[in-house]
Amino acid sequence: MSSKEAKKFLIVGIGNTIRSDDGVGAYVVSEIGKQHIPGVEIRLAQQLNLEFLEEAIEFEKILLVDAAFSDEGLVFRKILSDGDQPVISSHHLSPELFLYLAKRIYHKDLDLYLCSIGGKSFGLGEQFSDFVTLLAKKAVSEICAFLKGK
Amino acid sequence: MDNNSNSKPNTILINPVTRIEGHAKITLILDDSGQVSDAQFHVNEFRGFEKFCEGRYFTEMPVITPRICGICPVSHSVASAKACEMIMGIKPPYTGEKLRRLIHLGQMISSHALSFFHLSSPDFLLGWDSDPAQRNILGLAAKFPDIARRGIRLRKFGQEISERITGKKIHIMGIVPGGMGFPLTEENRRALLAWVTEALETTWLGMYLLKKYQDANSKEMSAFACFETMYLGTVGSQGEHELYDGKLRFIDAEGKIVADQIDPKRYLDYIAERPVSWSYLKYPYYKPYGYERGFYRVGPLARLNVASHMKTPLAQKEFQIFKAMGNGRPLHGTFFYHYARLIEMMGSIEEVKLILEDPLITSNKIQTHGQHNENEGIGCSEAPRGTLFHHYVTDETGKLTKVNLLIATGQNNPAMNRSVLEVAKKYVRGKDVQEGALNRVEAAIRCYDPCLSCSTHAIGAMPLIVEIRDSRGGLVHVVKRG
Repeated sequence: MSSKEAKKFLIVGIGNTIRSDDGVGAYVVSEIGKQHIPGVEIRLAQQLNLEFLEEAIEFEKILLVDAAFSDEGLVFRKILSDGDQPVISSHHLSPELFLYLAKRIYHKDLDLYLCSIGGKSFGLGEQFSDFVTLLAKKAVSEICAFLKGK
Repeated sequence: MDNNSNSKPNTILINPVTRIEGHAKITLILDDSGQVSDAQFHVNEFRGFEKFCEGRYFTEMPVITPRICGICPVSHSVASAKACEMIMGIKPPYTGEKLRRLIHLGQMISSHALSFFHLSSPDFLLGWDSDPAQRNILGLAAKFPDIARRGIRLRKFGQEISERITGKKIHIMGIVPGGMGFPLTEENRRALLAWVTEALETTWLGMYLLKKYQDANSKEMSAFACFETMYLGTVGSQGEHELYDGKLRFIDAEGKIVADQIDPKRYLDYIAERPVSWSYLKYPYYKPYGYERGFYRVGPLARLNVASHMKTPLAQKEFQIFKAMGNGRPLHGTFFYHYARLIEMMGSIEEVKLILEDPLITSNKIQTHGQHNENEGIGCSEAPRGTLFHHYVTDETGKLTKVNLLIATGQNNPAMNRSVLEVAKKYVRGKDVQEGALNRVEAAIRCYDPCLSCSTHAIGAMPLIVEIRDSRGGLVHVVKRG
């Protein structure tokens, strides 16, 4: 695996598409995928899990797009610390834990980023709240602009 | 489930139980002298699948029921499709059945790999008494990264089988009444076959680690939650270990076969259930013996205890060692679930190879079609944690009027209580609850790898709270971790 040439950019949309705003990560990444930007690969996942590590370490940069219980709107941040370990499960890893395990198991320092989109409604349904609909468009626009400007 | 009840004697509460599938807690009840007198394994979740499926058309069930669990969706889908096939009066064609077996084995591998490498191996690689904050996948990754990596890849191999046939790793959609919705391409057949050797090597590594630990701690492990029960598992026509389509075999605590080659459609003649007030899981038992005597276990240990032989050579060789350990009697030690799990994983990988080498496996003749012909259907398959039954009753239009799902973890519920009690009696002394004792109590549960509906799967960093109550129910001491 390590002898392979590193792939460029992986964008992962995380969330449950039948849980209203929770599906915004999958939506944003699907929209980005439609633009077929060179060097960019996309994946959709309900959660980050252990098995995904092996694929992720092949990429130079990884961006996770996920809904958040937050009022902060659209937030981009680089995942830097593997210090505080939040509650973990085999179905779901936090970005920090993902970073930690990549380093420990695969000896790879991931260049990992998170785009979190503050959601309002997480009940059953396939519609986004108005607020998240606006944020989703903004996220697609900003991520595409960044990727195309690279 | 109210531990504040004044009617409670001295009580120790462990909540939540970590590194299992779903949410649960344990209550240990102390007598007046401070010794453990009883144990209750509470399941706090209620999901109501049986109820809300009523009114659906029966053929929707193989798509709905895999959503019960993200670890064993294939077993639900298989049992469901079989129940539908009984209603329709059809059988899958040769390749359709082989593909189902393949996916089913893949699930067995991925589930067992997760259970062994990531949930349970931290106990014996890092030590029962080690820091709980590190006695999990984090500690494993830090100290044994290669083992963690191999475990991940083995689990991935199992999931890859599903993905390369159905396009999905989890909550697969391809198992349909009458067979399969997707064929296996030649490219995917070759890709999976190329992975078999590595998968076997990793299983050998697991076997080596487990045996090393067993050898060094043989006394404790043989006695760990060791108690006599009956066992249930499915077997083939010659008594061979059979996961996909066997008949029921019950053995008693001495190993005597008490019921054999029972068509799963007759499960209600042999299994009855009794509710308890403190858990949403019911207490199943072997009906002919009644509730008091009919206490049985299912899952890897049960399947190996009931089987006469394995179907593949490497697994058979290990199976003979397993059988020799019991001197002709069943192995009753709960820790041996891990050993049985590894033997099953080995046999599953070997069987995957055999199926992939079958030239007909890439055939497109994978589905038989049918319609609503009967009003009742029962399907059964072995899930990673034990024998699974789906039982549907429909009206004349095919809409479901009754659904009964008998799940493996439910069947192991009495045994989990008993295991906790046995371990707690040995390691817990009144208020003096040591970390190692708590972990052993939890580890007894983890041997069964219980799947409590798959909503959260804690593997180590969750808090543990132990409440110790006096004989009047008053709180006298709290132990917290995390």
